[in-house]
Amino acid sequence: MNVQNATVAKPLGRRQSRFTAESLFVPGLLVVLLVALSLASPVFFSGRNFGQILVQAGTLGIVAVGATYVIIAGDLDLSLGANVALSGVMTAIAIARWELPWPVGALVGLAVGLLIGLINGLLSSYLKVAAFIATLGTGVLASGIAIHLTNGLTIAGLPDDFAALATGRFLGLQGMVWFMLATFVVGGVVLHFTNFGIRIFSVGGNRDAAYLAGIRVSFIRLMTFVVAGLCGGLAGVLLTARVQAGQPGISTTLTLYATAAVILGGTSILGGQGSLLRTFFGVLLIAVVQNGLDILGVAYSLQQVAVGAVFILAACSEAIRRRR
Amino acid sequence: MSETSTLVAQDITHRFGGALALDSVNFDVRGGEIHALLGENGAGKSTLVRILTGALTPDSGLVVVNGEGWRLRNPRQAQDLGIGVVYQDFHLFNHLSVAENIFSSSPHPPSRFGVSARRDMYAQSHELLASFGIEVDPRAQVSSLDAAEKKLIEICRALLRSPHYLILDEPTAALEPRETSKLLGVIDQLRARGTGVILVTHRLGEVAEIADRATALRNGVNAGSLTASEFSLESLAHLIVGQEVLVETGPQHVPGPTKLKVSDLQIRKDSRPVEVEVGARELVAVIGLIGSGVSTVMDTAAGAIVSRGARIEVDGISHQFRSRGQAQSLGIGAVPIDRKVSGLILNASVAKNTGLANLESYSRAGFTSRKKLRNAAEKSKELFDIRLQSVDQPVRSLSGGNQQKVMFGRWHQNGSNILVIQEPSQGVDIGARQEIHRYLISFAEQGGTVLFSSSDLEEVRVLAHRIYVMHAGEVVKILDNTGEDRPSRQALTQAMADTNLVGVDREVSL
Repeated sequence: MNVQNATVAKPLGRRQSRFTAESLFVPGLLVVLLVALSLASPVFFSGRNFGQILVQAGTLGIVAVGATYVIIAGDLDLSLGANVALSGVMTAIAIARWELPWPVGALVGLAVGLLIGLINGLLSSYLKVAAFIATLGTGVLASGIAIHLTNGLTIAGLPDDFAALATGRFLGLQGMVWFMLATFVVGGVVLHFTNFGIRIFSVGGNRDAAYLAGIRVSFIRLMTFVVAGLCGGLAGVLLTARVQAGQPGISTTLTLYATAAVILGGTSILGGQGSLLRTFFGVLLIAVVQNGLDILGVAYSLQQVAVGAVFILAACSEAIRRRR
Repeated sequence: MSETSTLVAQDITHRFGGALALDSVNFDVRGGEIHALLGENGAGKSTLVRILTGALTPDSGLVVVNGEGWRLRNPRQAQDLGIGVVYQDFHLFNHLSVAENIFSSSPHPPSRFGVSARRDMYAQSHELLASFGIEVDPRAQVSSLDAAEKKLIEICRALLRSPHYLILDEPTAALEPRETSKLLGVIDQLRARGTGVILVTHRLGEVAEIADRATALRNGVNAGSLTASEFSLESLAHLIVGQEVLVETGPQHVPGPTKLKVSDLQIRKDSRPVEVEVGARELVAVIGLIGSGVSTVMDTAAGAIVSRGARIEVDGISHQFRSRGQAQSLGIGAVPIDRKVSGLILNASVAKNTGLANLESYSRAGFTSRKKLRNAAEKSKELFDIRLQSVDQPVRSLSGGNQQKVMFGRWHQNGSNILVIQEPSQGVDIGARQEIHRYLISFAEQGGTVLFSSSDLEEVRVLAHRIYVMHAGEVVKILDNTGEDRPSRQALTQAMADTNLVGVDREVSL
């Protein structure tokens, strides 16, 4: 070639190492918080409390897995919280009112979650309604149905063996925690090691380019909403089992926390970049903040302020690092 | 010229990290002169432009404006010294009017009692546009303009500050040949008014046509200069590359029977349906001005858009493409007009971008094999001489030419035997361009079918067996590019612009 040096790519200083300041920020913040809270309260640093943190992280974690899929594909699912509410309520109704065996009731909850995901996917990827708007609509709708079906009250009277699904212990950890960890592991493997996963990243990274490479963009987007719907359904079923009641009013903060956990972890809201491991740390961070403040006796309303503050702090620090 | 009306980059040296981007570079432009800044991608042109506009402060060296030396710290400072710039990419507000765009960067847009005075804005814009003979309605929304008009609006916006010096960074890159001549006309007028113009470009024809001097950078150093009397395509190419670029000829091999055929493609309501045929071993070009329908033909053939009624025959079997995936399964690879917008996943690795179109063959039971992906990318790297440090690095970090090679590598690894390519070498340096041309010709020699469009007529003449010329949604000419009487660039330009052939309802109004 007659132009040996002209087109050599410029060396890329950053982004080469797996462990950049960016990817270590949230785990670092987590460690700092753990140390600080351990010093602040003798109750905090105990296996029992850590188990409690993971239980509290359970619903949020499962939902956040679904949210990660949708966000990496470049969309947003604002119906996740309402999905948890409705699928939980339907599970409770199926078991308590229709007197179906609890495994069937759980399947009803999953089916409701799946259906909501499917509707979200069809609206956004095939009818081309902006995902933000479509899921806002289905969210309000689902939440309304949940409240209507229950008159806004919780549904009690669920069998103990159903509750054991979430609260039964195995190797010292509650079922809820195992379900969350399993969701992260399975979700992570699929997202990071399969063709489906690569296609999700491609669709989120550049929809036109993904289409040009022969990827069925609409189908991939639909599937991420279905995954999110299923996660919502699973979280709904487990939450109902854990508190032994269908809870119609859960929705709004859960959606926001799940989205915050994903972004907090460092997954790009623009799509195409991110990882489930990061989301996991984001979820833990939120759970630890909530738990720590619980222990310190801070009111729930103020906890929300704290989560918001942590979120903004992380977002700012990332923006500053990006600018350099 | 007196020393008081020059813009000089004096002994500029700048490093990015450890890499020396510019090494004691000198460059100057006088008032009333057009000085072309040439060089391959990565030679240092854009770095020099950024330094002259204050966007980048060099490690050492001065920007001397009218005899006074400066270390520019920010773009504002350069603007105040009378240095204007129009960047290569469009920076317009598509949903605002022409006038609003022109005044968008003005410190004092016309206003009355603090309320913006549209009428004055329109009047002043009209005056400015008219003074260059640009027939664009200041009230028109920018999104309704074509590429050349948009570029002219950007120039007008820069002119509002009455700069003494104007830097134009590849202003014609996105323009069709005839639009280019309109733009060059405006640049010529600027020179006549005493403005010093720095023209950064890859297109040597326009340098020869309009510039007073040309200076090339090569690997961050001055490679020499030529004055207008010394200009020829050969001498300019030599200046850039440093050694004689071989005078290329068209493809020498004989094409085979029809492999790909697009027919019944109705581009406009009243136009004759388009029919395009490409043989095995054949390279066919489709050319035409903006709006002539070239991109519709290419996108339809590639399956990138669904054109109702259009039939695409591959090996004699007729299809109606419903998706890009369908075209791909028939062995059609597609290289889009803008690889960054619709070709590559910029944040994904070279390996993933290479394997994206046939992940199935790099995986087992749905699980992707990163090793297989890397191997494919390594092969493609060898074949196309892609300059990279690792196939795991994001495509974003590669130069334009190398990005384009990744695009070609994808379809090569995919085993596509038909390539539908728009602008094979747009935004690509001369070295990579020649490599891409060599690849395409050998691809065809070995049985491949190539359908391509290009606004670079030299590229068309070098690559094509046959040339389809389009106008107003119809094919108006099919030219043979293999015989003794190959069409000249002038002949091609005329064929595209010829309005006598068919009823023309839309003219580029400039």
